[in-house]
Amino acid sequence: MEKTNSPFASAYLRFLQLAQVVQALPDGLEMDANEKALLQAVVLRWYENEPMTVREAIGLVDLGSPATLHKRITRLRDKDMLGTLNLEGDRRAKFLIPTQRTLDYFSHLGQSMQQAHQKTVA
Amino acid sequence: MTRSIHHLIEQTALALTSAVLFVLFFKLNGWVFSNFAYSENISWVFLPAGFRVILVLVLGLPGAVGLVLGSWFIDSVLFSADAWLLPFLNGLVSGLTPWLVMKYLQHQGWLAPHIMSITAQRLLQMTLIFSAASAISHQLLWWLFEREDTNILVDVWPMFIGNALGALLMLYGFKFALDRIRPNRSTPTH
Repeated sequence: MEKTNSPFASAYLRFLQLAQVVQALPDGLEMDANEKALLQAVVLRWYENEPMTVREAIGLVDLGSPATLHKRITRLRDKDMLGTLNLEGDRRAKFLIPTQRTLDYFSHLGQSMQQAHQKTVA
Repeated sequence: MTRSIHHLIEQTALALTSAVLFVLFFKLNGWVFSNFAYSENISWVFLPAGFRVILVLVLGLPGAVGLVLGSWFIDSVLFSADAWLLPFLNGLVSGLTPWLVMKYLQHQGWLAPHIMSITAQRLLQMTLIFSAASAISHQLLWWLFEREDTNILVDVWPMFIGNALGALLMLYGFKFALDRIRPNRSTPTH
């Protein structure tokens, strides 16, 4: 297949490529592996219709100490990856729920997995 | 023949576009960051440095030629019969340094020839290298021509910082706009 020889077309295509690289620039909203593990645990419980309370989340001893997990929850909330919900009748229990940004993130992961699967099959 | 003329016209148009963008952002920078001037020719924030990165990466040599033309236009008041060499070389240094640095880095295998193969971290590193190369080359030129009030060892730092801050502001401004135009759902993974 012959590639385009037009400087205009090449410039535009290179601009699109640069836009993708620029969009991947670090912006302080990246998650590290520990934050991802905690997020997965919280979202799984939400997906199973049993949302996790903050108290339960800081008790996940496999993922760290309560103080560490509390900081991690705060970071995930700052990054708009976790929200909280108080149920009617029980103002003390604070439930952790995913945000739209989190759902978009998991949706993107699902799409990537499907694409990888299709490439493997093809 | 017609095709090569058409090719040349497109490249000229790209170079002129590059020149216009550089000049416009130079003027904008002087207006917005007038309080951030370190000296008459150096600002602590120099937005057009971002265009050095973007234009050279996207347009290649026509982009660099545009930067040269833009610099000549900005320095046009300095051109005179007996003092044309410094502004002439200043324009060449301004436009060709980033392009030559890019070519050198590609030749060394440090920078991928295709933009898609460049990682975000490498783009940031390249921005810093461009900023340093531009500051050093300008200061060396001014020092060689014994320009008044030039202290290369001192002035190179504000110029480097101005270039780097300006380029990073441009790139992150670009990212900010892109994130709003087409949200990047994979951001948390990077």
